[in-house]
Amino acid sequence: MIPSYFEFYNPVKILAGSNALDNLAYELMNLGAKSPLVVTDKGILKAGLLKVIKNAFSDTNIPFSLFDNIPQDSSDLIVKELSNVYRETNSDSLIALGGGSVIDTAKAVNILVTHESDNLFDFVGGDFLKKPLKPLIVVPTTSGTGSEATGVAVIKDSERNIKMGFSSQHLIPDVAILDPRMTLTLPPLLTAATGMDALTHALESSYCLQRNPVSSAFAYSAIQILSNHLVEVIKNPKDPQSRFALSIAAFLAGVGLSNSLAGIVHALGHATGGICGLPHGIAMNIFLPHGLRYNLGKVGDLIGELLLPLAGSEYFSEIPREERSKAAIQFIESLRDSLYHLVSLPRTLKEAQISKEDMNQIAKDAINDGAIAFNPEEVDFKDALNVLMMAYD
Amino acid sequence: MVFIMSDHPYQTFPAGQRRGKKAIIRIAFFILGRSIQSASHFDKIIQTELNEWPDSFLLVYKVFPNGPELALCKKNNLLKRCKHTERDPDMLIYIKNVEYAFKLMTSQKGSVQAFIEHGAFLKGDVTIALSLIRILNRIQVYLYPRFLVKRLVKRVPKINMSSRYIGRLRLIFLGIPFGL
Ligand SMILES: [Fe+2]
Repeated sequence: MIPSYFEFYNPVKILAGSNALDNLAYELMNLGAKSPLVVTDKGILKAGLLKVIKNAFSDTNIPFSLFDNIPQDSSDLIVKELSNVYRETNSDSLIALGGGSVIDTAKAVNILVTHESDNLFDFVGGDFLKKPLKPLIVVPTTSGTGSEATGVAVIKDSERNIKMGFSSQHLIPDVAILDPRMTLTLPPLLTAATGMDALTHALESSYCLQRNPVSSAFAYSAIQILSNHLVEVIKNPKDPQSRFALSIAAFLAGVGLSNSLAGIVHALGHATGGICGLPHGIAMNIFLPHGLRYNLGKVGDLIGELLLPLAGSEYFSEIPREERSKAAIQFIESLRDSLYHLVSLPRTLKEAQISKEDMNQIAKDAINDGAIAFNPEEVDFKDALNVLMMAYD
Repeated sequence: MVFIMSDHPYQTFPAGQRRGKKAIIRIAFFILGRSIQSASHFDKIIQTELNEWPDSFLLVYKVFPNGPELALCKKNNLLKRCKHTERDPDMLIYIKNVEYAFKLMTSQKGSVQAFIEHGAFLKGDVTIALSLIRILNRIQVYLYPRFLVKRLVKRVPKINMSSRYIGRLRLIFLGIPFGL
């Protein structure tokens, strides 16, 4: 099904594979950068990943500055502090080494330093940036958020304690370095959760309203890799081959998400995260099958087609067309069961210890989340509440 | 053989105008503005939506870059057409070109579709944009027959038949002509 109009944009250069990071200096030169600021968090340093970066810079004449204080839930204050560091150190480019929070922070810092501004609030919203930003190279240390492929950043407003969203094609990083060494130390539970986030990006972007054939090609390929490798990585976390596969899948799914956006699963996840602090990947794991089921009436055929990349051609051809969408949902459910048995990744709100009392507020926030607009089926307050109840136990 | 000599080996074209379509867009903006203003008087659900908007919130629809615009301001829980010259709008909905604005304003495209197709983009709080979409969905039920609304929205909002007809008459005879 080809839409009457669509847009697609993905200018990210990818360096993927073993020792990819060793090309860092060369990429900086391509971007005209001579003194980068590396931003990361304390966990990354503890995992010993800085050594790889240092090695990449040795014998290059490129000095770099390091800021390692980015918290899990980055805020406008950190962004401001960091842009002062950028100016003080006379940096001319940014390298984000970390997960979604680190990458989003780097994107926000880039807005401020490029526009020589101190006020992040001036830039909230979509399509507001009128000029290209400073060079940004991203080295993901998780495989899920896909932030290395998107033009979106989410930062907390420390005063009002709400999340601010920024989106612009200029926020898309210049280079993403997918080096298997960088994700080897990611704990299995986190790997499972971020992997389910990536799978949700791929699935929602291929059946929600902004889907298009180009972004679906990315999403399909992500689904195939994830269903082949996710459980394998959890069983064997030190296997660089399957770690590498997950990083590629997360990127592919991020491209899908960036161009086709998400739907009810993300809307519920953002709301539950905002109110109960439920980590995003866990929320995706909980809501995914319910979101698929909720949309069966409008896009059942499309969901049925997703069985092919999920389960492979042999299984797909055994299932009659009209049963494929249900089989796709069952496939996701059994994947969740496997992850639950391996690392206790919660499958229900109850398993995640979310209180029933919060349901009303979550439903209210979910229907006011941007992602809901792109869900194929309309979602009102009652609908959202129903889905939450189904996801409860 | 005749050579036409010109000073330059190239031509320059000034930006043209699409006056006809722009005039229709202006009329449609007027009708939409008055309908929203009027419906916020009598539709309880629209009033509940508006309750959540900050007071004196200024919303502007604008056709990029210099086309017609519609400014709406929240006052006493009503959304009223207003002039905006002195201050920056709290929410700006940019429609990317005149053709698209024409399709949108003549209801060949729905408001969600406009965002999906990148025909419009938003500067401002998404929460309020979603609330606005719910308000517009209801106004379409008052203005148009069901078969048309079904093409524009994901699910037609439920408004019982008598309120629907009373609302429609009110918009046609009081709302659009007088803004009441
Ligand atoms: Fe996500």
